[in-house]
Amino acid sequence: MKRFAKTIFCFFLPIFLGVLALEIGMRSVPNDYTFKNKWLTENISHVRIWTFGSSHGLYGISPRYFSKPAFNSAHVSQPLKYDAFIFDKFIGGADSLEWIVLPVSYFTLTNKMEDGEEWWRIKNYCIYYDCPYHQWEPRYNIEVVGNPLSLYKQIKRVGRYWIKGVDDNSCDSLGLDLGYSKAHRGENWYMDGPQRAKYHTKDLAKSQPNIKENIGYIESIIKTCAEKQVKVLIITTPVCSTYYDCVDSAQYALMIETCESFARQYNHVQYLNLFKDSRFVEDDFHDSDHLATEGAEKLTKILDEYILTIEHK
Amino acid sequence: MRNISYYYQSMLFNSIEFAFFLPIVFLIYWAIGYAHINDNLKLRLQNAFVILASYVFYGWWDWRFLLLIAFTSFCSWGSGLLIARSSTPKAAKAWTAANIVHNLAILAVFKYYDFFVREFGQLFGVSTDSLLLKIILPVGISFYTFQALSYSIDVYRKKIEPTRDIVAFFAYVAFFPQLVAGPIERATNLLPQFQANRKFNYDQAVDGMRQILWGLFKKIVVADNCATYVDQVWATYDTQTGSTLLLAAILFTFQIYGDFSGYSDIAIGTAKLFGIKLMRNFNNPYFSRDIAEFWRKWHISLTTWFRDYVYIPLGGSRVGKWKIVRNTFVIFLLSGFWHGANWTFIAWGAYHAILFLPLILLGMNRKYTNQVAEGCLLPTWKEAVQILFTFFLAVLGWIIFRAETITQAWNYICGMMQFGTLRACYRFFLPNEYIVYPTNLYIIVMIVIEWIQRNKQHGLEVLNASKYKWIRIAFNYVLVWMIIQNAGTEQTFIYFQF
Repeated sequence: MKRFAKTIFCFFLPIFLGVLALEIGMRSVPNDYTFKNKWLTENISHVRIWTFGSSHGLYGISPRYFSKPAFNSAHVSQPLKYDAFIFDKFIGGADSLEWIVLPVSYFTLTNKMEDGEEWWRIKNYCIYYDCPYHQWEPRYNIEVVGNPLSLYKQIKRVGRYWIKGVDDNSCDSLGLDLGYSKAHRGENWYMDGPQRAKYHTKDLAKSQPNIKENIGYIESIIKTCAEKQVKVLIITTPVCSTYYDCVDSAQYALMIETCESFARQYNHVQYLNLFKDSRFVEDDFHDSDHLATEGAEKLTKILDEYILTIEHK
Repeated sequence: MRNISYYYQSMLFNSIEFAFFLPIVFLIYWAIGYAHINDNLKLRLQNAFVILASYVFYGWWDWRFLLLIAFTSFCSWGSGLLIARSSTPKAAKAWTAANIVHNLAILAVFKYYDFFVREFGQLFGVSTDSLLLKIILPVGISFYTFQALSYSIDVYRKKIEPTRDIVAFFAYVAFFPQLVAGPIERATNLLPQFQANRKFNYDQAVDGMRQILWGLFKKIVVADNCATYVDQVWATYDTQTGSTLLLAAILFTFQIYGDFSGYSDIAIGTAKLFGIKLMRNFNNPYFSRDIAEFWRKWHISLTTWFRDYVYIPLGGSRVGKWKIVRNTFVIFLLSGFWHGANWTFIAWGAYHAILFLPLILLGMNRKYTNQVAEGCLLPTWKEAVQILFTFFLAVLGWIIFRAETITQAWNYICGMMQFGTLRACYRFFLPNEYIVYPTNLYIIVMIVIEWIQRNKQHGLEVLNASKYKWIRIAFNYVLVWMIIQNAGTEQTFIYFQF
């Protein structure tokens, strides 16, 4: 047994030390999550418009085009559960907050990160936002194993930061991710609509528990906003015709009906559906369902104008 | 394929949870083994601890179903005693039948009830929604049920003495390395090991670690990488080209092999750490020269189970031709149906029965019982062609297996029948095939290693520990590197759902 213990120890020690070093290294690289967590901790009291959401919000809303101080705390694939988590975490200090903008996309209500391919993003909330959900589950709390990047790329990322000082934060100073521009879109960007719509379409019967849970998160955010006298603008961001032509009508109707019913039910809630809005043209998109930086400017100006109109009513 | 996201909550062999669980269980188990107490108490304590660890392992997924395992174990253990105590053969037969019926009834309720009700409703055009149970399929139910069944049948056949030791028996049914996805052990092999004192064996434990490493490589590096491509293509198969469909079909063939044989390697390797020897489950099936050889090498524990408990009792191949046809179809259809309540699995079984039948009718089913290219570095041209042809037949079968419906399988195969489909074969080897690379490289590594090691029990088995020691250690580190490199996207094992 001693011999076996010695063999195992000698074999695994270099691996353990290597993984530990990489874990520490990975955590030291600033990323969107560390940036937004830090920014919100320090500046939430000045924010008057606070936006949330998944990649549709992350790439589609540029806070600099609001006429009031704003911040975008969306992340890629961020479900309502984590919108609500971030909201709850910082709302206590949001003394100047007037509006929150909550994007609800075609897939938002059926989405549950824990069940899908994007489960590995949960570790970002656990590690960088100190999120208490899943705090005893190692795969959500260890960068090296919870990261889909290959080991080589992880080492490269750490090296890139420590040697060249290049970090992993792709957001501007107000939270808009600058990674999606018109210039960087793929060759068949317009034609991926059917595939993406199909990917986002779920069996509604099977998704009932997720739908119920997500509606609960929206409701909780809305109720807290009512207490704080903050207005809520639920939006559906625009997509290309190749995408919206292929969506499931029942899932689309569910999204519309849910958002509209919130707007009907609560006076401080507005719903703005821009899903098929004709003001958005091909040049505004990065791919079939994401706006490019150029489109983000247009969307944010539309939202700003809408907010001002509501306020002046 | 069934939606298997629910099974992500299980303590998978490729999870961090298991990486913590295994050393803890290993240390406590051998601490008991080395304790200064009498051998009998030591054995009972070790077995009791195996049960506890196995129930924690299983309960990690869903503790409610522990009752089901305990119930199955208790009934099979009790039936063994009742069979042995029966005063007449008729009574023994009745107890055996009762145990078989009760086990199959549990399996039927959890696994097949909804399927039959739904099919019945569709056949007669009536709504059966209110009759559906919609219960979760307990992980590994088909595996441990078959294991429990084998015990009572073997007691009835007097191949094994019934055990009065309930702790050893519960450990036999629940032993965590093979609890949820096999190998489906026989009481004749496994139970005596739980009834004898176990001594730690360094060589066996190191070999177990090597087998675990190889299993993790096949699962995490090969199967999970294949899965990424395969899932993408299957999700949009109606818009893909023929060569992409064929490429995905080939990758699924390696995915299911890497997934399941990888699981088996980890299970067998883990058992070795505890001084337990499990049966081999795969013997390089993709190096088979015909489909009969394939079935002797694929999921050996299940195929031999059906052979011993269904095929041979039906008369096997020592009956008239029509009965041979019947028996062949029975075991293949049952084997397909064992995988799940879906017509695709039945069709997959029927497909293999059709391929197998000519061989058995012509008496050629045992033509290749030796290892391919024995004593040679490479196969002959004839063997190479036979291997490729058998592999292609397996690929077609896996399309049926992977599909959600027969129509989907048919459409997928039709989609493959396009001009230029064979481009997939050379696309597989392209370094710049952006999605397949480096999965193709990993597959090639797996094939080469398994080919070199085809006469051994697993890919990393070492017969002479001092030979090429440093090269082997370096290679093991390369494997660990590849495993950690690919470990980010932990995927459940396909066979968990069966």
